[in-house]
Amino acid sequence: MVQSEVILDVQHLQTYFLSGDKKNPTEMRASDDFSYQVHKGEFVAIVGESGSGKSVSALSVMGLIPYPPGLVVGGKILFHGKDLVQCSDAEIESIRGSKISMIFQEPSTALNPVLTIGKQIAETIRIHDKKIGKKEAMAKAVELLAKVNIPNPEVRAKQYPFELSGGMQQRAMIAMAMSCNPEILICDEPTTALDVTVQAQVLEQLNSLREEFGTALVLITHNLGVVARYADSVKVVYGGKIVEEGTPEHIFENPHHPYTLGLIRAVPRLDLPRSYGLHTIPGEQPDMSKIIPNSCAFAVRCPYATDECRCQRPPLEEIEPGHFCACFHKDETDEERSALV
Amino acid sequence: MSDDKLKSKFRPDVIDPVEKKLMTQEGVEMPVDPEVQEFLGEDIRVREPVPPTQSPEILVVKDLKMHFPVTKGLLKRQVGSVKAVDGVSFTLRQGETLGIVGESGSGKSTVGNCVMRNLTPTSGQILFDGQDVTHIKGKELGEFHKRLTMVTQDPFASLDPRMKVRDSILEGVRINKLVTDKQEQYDLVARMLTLVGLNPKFSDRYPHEFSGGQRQRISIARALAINPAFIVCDEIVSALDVSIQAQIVGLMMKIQEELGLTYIFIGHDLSVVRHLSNQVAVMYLGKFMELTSSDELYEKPLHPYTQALISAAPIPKPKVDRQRERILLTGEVPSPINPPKGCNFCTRCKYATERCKTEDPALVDVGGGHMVACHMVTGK
Repeated sequence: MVQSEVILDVQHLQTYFLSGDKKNPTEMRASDDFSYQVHKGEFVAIVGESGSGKSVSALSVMGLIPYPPGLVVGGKILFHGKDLVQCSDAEIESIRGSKISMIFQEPSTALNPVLTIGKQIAETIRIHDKKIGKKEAMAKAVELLAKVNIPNPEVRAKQYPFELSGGMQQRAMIAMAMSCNPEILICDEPTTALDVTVQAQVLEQLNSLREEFGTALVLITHNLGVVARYADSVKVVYGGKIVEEGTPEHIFENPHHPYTLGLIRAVPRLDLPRSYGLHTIPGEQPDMSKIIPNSCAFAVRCPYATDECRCQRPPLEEIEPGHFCACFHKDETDEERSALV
Repeated sequence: MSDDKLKSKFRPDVIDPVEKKLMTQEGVEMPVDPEVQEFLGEDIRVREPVPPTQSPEILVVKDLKMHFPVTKGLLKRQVGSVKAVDGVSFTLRQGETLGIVGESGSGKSTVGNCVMRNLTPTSGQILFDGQDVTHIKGKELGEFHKRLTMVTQDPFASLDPRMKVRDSILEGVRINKLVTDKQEQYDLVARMLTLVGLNPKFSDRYPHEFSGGQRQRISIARALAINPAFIVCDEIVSALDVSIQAQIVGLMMKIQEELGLTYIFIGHDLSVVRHLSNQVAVMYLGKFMELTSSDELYEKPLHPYTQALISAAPIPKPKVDRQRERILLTGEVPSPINPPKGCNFCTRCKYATERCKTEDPALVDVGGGHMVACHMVTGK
């Protein structure tokens, strides 16, 4: 892909949460030294399991981290060169929703149950564009619903969320998020609550909107398969840190980090005979407040871990152009890598 | 515990690197048993399926129907019915697994609940080990429930938050008076926890102290405590992360091999269900669309719905995945109150003809036990 202009540049983002009692609080590094860039029209995927800090990294960009207990303690979020961390609330307000928009996992909880779909979309349009009239906004809402392939948009606009199926609700959410023609659309697990066939529809929809409007997509997901099909660039997150990043080809054909390898091998494969078996990563996702700051978060579960991993943090190093990996033992994973089919 | 160790528990930064590992391991509550550790790390390979003629039939379901009435008005006049399960038949041999996949609302969980006899089917017959269990109740049902049990989706909802793990696991055992001696009961709990890969010392804790994956292991331990022959697993890995999901899938397969259990494995993720099952049934709107061995399902899917499901399931391999044909289904699942007159799938099927709209295709064996319900495949 031809690299176009960088619109979002997250540099060394550190978002911490404080928990426990006030005198002796424990620090939870939900997002620790997190850096990524989003180019215009790019499809970026952030992959990680629950509690890995993938959502926090996105919420930080939107300025939606609740304070207290959470706070962006370090790093920069540059949107067109402007640091969002330093911005006032009013400034963020002018960017959030209109320039950077977001959709969430559960459409049924994200939509207001007592307002019709059309009203909710029109409301969003009118908040961001004060000049537009009520009727005009409504007409635009219907147009947007048509754009996300909702049949009978005029009828649907007058219906309440409960009258729509899950897939339909998520489309309405997409319509709402796209209403101001944002430059970046952050999707936090948009298809997790949906059935497989509906999931495919929604993802195709998002991808075609990206092609049509040139909106960059940041997809936060735990589903590796989804990533393989659509993404331009993939970041694998573990314990609040990016452990490996690159194109889908880098990540899936030539993974170097033990976690990435383990994760890929833990997905049951439909295209292989059952006798291929399933690999498991021992242990569980770590409790973030218990990760030792200067260590590799994966060391506890990692078969390659040495003392070095437990007291030093591996830096994110380039192993081939565009492919980065944070592991001291990335050269020792050859054997496991060759086991990939 | 020595003073130093105690201190290190609270101030992880002060201990040396080697100790750190121990601390963090305790922190994340990894099973410390080396045997358990070894088992969790190993690749779990699928055993060869038992040839069908070797083991006896344990469950026979014939034309199972479960219709829920839809009532209206003060007098609760029945105005229709939700045909959650509408004529499902299958046979399951001992030690085998039947996987049921389908989207939400397809009736897959209702099949599980009918087999469990949590629901009394509207019509049809369920034979368990030769005994007709379709309409048993009271004592007989209690006896039946000693032989088969269920593990459900949400481990946060299925464990009583106010019961210790030990009491949760022993609940069924105590009700059925299977083991009465206290020491024996404790030993049983320890054995069950070890079997599911948890540390036996966890038995005094409460569910909130565990992660989702660990709770699901406890649920499985509870199901196994009564020593059943048959387990209905209803979406047991859907709420779990990928790496934990693989652990639980591996665990279920290991237990099956060790104890010779028979499973019905219900799920919406075709790749997971297929991995665990000998045969897979694809369900849509209360009916089986296709029923075949799990390897054949991917290699030779015959029903258009199965083909769409397979094409929609992503494969984590960009080169393979981007070359696959994508069949995008349009529209949504019709309401089970008023299903289409002919084939249930005809409203979304691109091959649908006039015949499909009027005549319901039967599930027909097209060779080698590959059953499919489609006019296009079965022909005239």
